[in-house]
Amino acid sequence: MNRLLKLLLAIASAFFLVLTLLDVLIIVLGRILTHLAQRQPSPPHGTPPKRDECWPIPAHRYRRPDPLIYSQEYLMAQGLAVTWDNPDIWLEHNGQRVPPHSLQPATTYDVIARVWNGSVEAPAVNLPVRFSYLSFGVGTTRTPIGTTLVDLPVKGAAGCPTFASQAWTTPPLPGHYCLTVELLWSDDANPLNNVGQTNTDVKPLNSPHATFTFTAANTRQQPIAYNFVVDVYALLPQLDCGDTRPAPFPTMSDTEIRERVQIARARHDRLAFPVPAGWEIRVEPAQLELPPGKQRDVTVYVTAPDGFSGQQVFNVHAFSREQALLGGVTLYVRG
Amino acid sequence: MPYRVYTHCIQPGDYVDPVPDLGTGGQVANFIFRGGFEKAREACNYLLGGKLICLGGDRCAIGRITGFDLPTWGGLDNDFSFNILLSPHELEEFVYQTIRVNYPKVANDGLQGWLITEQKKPNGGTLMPEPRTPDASNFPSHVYHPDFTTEPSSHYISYDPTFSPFQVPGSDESYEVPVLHVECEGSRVHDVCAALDSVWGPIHSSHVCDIPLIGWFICLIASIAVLPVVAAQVGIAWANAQDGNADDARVDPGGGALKTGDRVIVTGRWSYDAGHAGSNELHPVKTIQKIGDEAYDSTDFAGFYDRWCSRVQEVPPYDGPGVRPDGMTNQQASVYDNQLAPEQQWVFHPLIDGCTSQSVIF
Repeated sequence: MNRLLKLLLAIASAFFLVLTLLDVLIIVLGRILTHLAQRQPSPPHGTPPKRDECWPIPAHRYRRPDPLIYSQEYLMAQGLAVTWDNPDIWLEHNGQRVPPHSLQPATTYDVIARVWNGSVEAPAVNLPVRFSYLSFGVGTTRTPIGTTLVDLPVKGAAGCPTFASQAWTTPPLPGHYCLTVELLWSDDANPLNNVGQTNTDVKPLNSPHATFTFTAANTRQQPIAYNFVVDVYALLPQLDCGDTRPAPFPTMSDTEIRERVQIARARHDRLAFPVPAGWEIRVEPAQLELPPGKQRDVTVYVTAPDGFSGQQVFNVHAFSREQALLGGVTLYVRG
Repeated sequence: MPYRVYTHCIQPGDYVDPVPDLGTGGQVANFIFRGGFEKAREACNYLLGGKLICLGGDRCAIGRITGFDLPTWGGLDNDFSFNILLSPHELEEFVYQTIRVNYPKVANDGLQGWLITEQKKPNGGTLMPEPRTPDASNFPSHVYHPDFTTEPSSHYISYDPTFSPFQVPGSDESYEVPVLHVECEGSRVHDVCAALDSVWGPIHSSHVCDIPLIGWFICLIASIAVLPVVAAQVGIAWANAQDGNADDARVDPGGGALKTGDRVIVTGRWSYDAGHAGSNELHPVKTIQKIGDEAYDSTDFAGFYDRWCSRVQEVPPYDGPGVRPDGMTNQQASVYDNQLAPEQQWVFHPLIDGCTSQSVIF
């Protein structure tokens, strides 16, 4: 009997112990759920909220556009050859495209910039596009023309690329100018591809020589050493999509990106476009050190091979001693 | 990482509050006589699919971040939420005043104020249900109490009062700023509730707790039997949810950081949250994008807002790599299909590594 009583007491104790534990669990669970169902909409009156922290947001919610233009500095930093005849910047007069190297003084043109978005998920509304002009050359002073706002949809949407237009009245004195376009977006997925420049000149061959002159200037606070390098790169025809199948997903995978980069480097390798045999190119001076605030003319002498006819392009790139791209011009000779 | 929504919203007429505030004693009694896990399950259903009232689908909002809801991060609820002052309003408009004075300035602005306004029937009657904890002030109504943030100093007006000379709480007159609450969903509530349901779900489906007279006792015995399993499952789900979300937010290279004062455009499901005093919010947030000062236009804000929203809303939603999103609008589907086209598969520039199906244009 005594043993039975002890057994009953033990069962009862165990039962109440488990019951108590269960109670605790339920109370805790209830508290949690009640807590979650309510929230404090604001900190207590007079308590300074904690403000000095940045809060990380994962990529599937936080989005950045990538406004971009044909950017010589960015592309060359990727090991790609570039032209200063920018395919995304041109001039129009009365709706007709005009060559940038033969502009009339005191005449109003429309400068057009074609703007792309590298992002499939973030548009850029009211994107400021800043236009400037410079004297023909490298490192020269930039003079603002104006800023235009455009709406840039995502890649693949109607309206991408978008076109920014800015009226520009050329200076009253005849001259030869470069144009620069900058895309201004503070929260940019890639802020390095936002500046493009167009600097071109065209000269006829004169049995069989042509001579170009441009200005090299130093508007910085430190001396600059220019080193000029010439190649004959021109934009290649785009590959034919042919039987290429649609991508499985709008955002490219790492593998797909690597493949595209390999294709780009195979076709546009910076070192793959040397001056062809038979042409003689001389840049004087080939190297140049300029103190701050100084400038001087650089002359390019071109001699064509015998019997040449047609058009040949030359890009003159200016590099610093540290191999940073400082600017450049694209020259066309016609014979 | 695939975009996920753990909650769903309901129509106003379907709203039921199954989580009465009974206090500790009441919870115990509720547990013993009505089945604790049954009530916990109902609470889960309320949190995930009961307290949010649908207000008509996704909306976008533009505003400046006034603060983050700190207690929710890394604690019980790993939702990430913050509050925005709807543009074009700025803090200066609200100094010295309480929410009673300041709320109408935003709610009646004719711009985005409708986002934080109680939605009513065409005849003007109350459309929203009575919220879980109505505010005693009944301002502006019994079922609606606007969210607001309290700014500490009317003499140092800043989204970041770190350098305010009025650092002692109460040393300057505070003011209350009406805000739109926006909430990114974490997975913990869902995971914990799923763990509970994995064990208790079969018992619930058997309806043993509904048997007259003895149901409560069978339910009690069943609760005791599964208690250790539930505790273990809930613990595991809790821990896993915590680790996964924190890491995701911190190491994702495509992510970004937000701070107070940032101007953002946020898209998300427009809902009325009846789980507290009753207010509108975007829950869950689907996208967040910063708008820099260089692009902001307050002179024609209505046009600016319309253009932003139309551009943001044409973007296909993200359901994960290789997954065609469900429920796209015609416009989103068109954009999605265009984005898959070979012509759009470029990295540097379309003229460098892209391809064309047409004659080349330089």
